[in-house]
Amino acid sequence: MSVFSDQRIIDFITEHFVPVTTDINQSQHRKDFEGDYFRKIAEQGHYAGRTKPTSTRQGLYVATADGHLLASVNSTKADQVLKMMKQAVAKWQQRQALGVADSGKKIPARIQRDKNYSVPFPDGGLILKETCRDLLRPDNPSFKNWRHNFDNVWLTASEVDQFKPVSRDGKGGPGQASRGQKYKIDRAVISRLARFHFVDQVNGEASAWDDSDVKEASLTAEVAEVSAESVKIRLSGRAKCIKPPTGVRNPYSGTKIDKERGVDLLVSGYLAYDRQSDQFTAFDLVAHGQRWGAATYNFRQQDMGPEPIGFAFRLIDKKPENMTQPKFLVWGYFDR
Amino acid sequence: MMINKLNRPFAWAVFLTGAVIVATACSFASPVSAQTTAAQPLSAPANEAEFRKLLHSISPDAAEEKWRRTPWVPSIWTGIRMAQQRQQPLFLWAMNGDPLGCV
Repeated sequence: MSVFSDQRIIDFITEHFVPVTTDINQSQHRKDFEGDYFRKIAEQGHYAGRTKPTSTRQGLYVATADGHLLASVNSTKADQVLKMMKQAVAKWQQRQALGVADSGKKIPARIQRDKNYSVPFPDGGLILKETCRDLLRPDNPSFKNWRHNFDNVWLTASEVDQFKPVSRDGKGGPGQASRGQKYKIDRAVISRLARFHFVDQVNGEASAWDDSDVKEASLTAEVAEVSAESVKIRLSGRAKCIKPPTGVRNPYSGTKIDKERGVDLLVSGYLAYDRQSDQFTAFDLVAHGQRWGAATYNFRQQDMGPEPIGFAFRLIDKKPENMTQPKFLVWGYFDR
Repeated sequence: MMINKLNRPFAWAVFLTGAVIVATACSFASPVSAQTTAAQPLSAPANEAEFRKLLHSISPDAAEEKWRRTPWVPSIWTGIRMAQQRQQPLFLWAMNGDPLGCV
């Protein structure tokens, strides 16, 4: 269980702090207001100045708005995190008593974000919430599949249009389709989904598939139901990706990952399309099948498979807390 | 997009740095089971009920979503402005990968 699922932690943070998340891959490096702020507090914290074994500044920090660190720790133990937070509150209260809790330094009303890390959300696009998880293993009843990971999928407006039902003669426009009608989704759409989201991130990180790694990517839509208000669409397809050996050695374990890795997945889904608003109201998608091999940092060296894995996707609202960038956004995510 | 092309070498450097960080973090995780089995034949869900069952089995359950009850703000700048307005400190959860996305 995550330390942040502990009710004591949830209550304490909510009562005393403004809780913020950040990706240190970006915040340690970005040349903008947010990067400057993060580096300022991190260099007062638990990993200040550290370069070995890595230069990570990962962890939990409590700081004032003007960048004065109150306390920090890198721990997944609830008691240690609680202790750190209590220390931070005590220091905050001391500063309040002295009238120096925060300098009141003016925070800019607008900021220019480092363009190396800022790719805007595509106009008219959709966000799908991804969960990846090992599937249960029938031949190993003791296997637990609690490990899982998330990501966000950003679909462009033109990609979303690919899924909209059209009339049989192609002239009726979106929503005019009839039951049983089938249409192909452009390979580029399912291929992009496969490259950046059918990646085994369950235990640790793996890089995205290259375009040449995608051996199969097909997806067909079929109109399952039609009513005056909506159209239900069923999806079926397949995606297969194989990456040849990289020869990259893990610097911690010394293990050379020189075997291929891959996924062979069936794709299925059910979409609900609202005819009046011309919008999808549900976009449920699953890719499940086999994964094998290991990436340098995804901790599959002792579990090379093939073993079953699943990727689930659901439509989520474009609320600020849902706008976190896809993991591979700045790695050619929208390139064609 | 042009920006992605421009960013790629730089971003890969950052990725590899981050991957090393994750390797450290994950090295404390419980060991994974060592087993090799033959590939199982793939079968698609026969109907919508089977599809829903599969979707549900992969998606997080309520306990796994509990951490989201904290009203996390996905921007340092927004958080700083809120902290100053509310006269509260900022609590920063800094991970290799955004905790609200893929870590």
